[in-house]
Amino acid sequence: MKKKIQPTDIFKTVRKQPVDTTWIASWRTTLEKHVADHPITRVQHQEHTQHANPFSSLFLQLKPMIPLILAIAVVLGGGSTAAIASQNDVPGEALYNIKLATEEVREAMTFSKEKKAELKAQLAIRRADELTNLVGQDAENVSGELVAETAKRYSKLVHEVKNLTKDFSAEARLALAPGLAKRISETAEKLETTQEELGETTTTELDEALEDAVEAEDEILESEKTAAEEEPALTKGQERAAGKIKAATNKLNSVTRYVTKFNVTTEQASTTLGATTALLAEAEAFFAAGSYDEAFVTAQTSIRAANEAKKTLRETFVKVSKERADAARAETDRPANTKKNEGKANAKANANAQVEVKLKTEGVLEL
Amino acid sequence: MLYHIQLTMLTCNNSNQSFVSLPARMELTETIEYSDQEILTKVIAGDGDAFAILYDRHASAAYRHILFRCSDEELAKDVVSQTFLHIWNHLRAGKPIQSFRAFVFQSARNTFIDLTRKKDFKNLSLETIVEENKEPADKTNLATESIINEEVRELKAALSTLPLIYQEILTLRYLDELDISEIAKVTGKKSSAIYVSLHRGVRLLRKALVEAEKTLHVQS
Repeated sequence: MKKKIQPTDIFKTVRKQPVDTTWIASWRTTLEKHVADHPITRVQHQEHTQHANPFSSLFLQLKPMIPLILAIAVVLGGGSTAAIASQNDVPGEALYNIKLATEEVREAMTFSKEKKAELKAQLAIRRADELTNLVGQDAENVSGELVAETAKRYSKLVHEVKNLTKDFSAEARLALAPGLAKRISETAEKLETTQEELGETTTTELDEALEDAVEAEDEILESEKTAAEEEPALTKGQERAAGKIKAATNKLNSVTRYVTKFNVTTEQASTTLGATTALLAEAEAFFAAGSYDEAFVTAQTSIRAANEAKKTLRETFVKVSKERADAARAETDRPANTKKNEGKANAKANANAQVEVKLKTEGVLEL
Repeated sequence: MLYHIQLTMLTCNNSNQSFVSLPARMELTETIEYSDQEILTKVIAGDGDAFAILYDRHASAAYRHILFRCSDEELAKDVVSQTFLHIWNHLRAGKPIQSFRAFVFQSARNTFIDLTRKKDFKNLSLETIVEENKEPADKTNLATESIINEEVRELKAALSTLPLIYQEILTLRYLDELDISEIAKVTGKKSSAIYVSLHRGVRLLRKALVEAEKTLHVQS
């Protein structure tokens, strides 16, 4: 049997050929020299990055703050500078309330549960840092009231993160819970340090905040565990891709059935069918890897290929059927002709025999 | 994609600049995996030696790709050297790189187009090489030793009958083993278009190979 040509196998052969790396290795030295003579400096890099791309990380960080800055500017009548300046303030300082107000605006403008939880975890880190700074400035004379207020705010945020996480979809819990738990764990460590620094003067609220942090971390991790056990709900993208893969599988099966039923195939159709199978396998691999858009497109291409194969098969079937019908017709016609011819031949043979007898009788044949 | 790197490369750092967070001292026999992106972070932070590691990883593949496309050793060397100098300048300018491998092939592609345009590369096209049975003069070079054999010659001949974009996409996919998203970045096309081109390209290539075989059979 003749081996089918596989272009991809020939590429594989080329790929296996060794590449002469002598020049590559020698030019490495030239490159190293060039790199050493023209180094990248960090300042240069940062300057260029900001200049080259206005949507750089700094801009992206400030982007969510723009409505907030505008809102504060309106409230304070041009006091947006105060809003920015307040961001490093600790409880008890002049602009601290503005800082809290800006945070509230940010929270109000964050709508998805996931983003809200992320934001609140970020704010919990802020509260923990504020406690560290408050106590770090003067542990002996720090205001217990301020520590208590900040610890309460911290507890509230941690509770909210915990509750929001419970409402996440299983998929979101799996994706976000570890990060959230880690952040809360880090803040808990900060609170522990603060607690140690305060020693005897520690407040009940701070102790409670620490307990809340540990509890929240445990519950968030637990929710991640349960999410892993649950059957993950399909997202819209997954559903689309899964549907398309199913359709491609059905299409491939239908074409395969067509081949078996009508016992017809061509080289072109079998090539296309091979590509269909390969594309479908690739789509399934993409799906398994979580690349649902790619899975969708590949499955769609697979369907197209299957349709193409079926079209070729249909054309071939029509052609073959016609040929078979012609052959059958020819078979039916053949006996009639044969009979006619046989009749003529018999008549001729009889006539010849009669002539032969006549001639024998007359004694001519013997002569 | 992760690769194995010999830590000797990381530890034998003669530059005053060094990896900020990568381990400074480890057993020389130990191997560790770092992604291109992790190494790129070090390059951006000013570590020139880290760039040499990226060169070691990708230069051979880029060289083989260009050599396969043009069978001109000198041109392939020019393309690879200019590609890496371009990438270094790109990084110095503070411009980002999302996928280093895709960026290497993209830069190599652009450099190849520029150089072949300048050199009036018509006489060195795949088709001409195959038709005229032309081979690079140096018999000891890579092309004669490893790439040019009968099967590869047939593949090149069949490829040269395909539209250029199919030649490029098939080579990137099956020779260089780039994934679809990387090919999309290199060629500037959408992933869906790449799928379709791959599907059609393989079909056309197979057809061309079958026809070439038939012709050979008739001639013999």
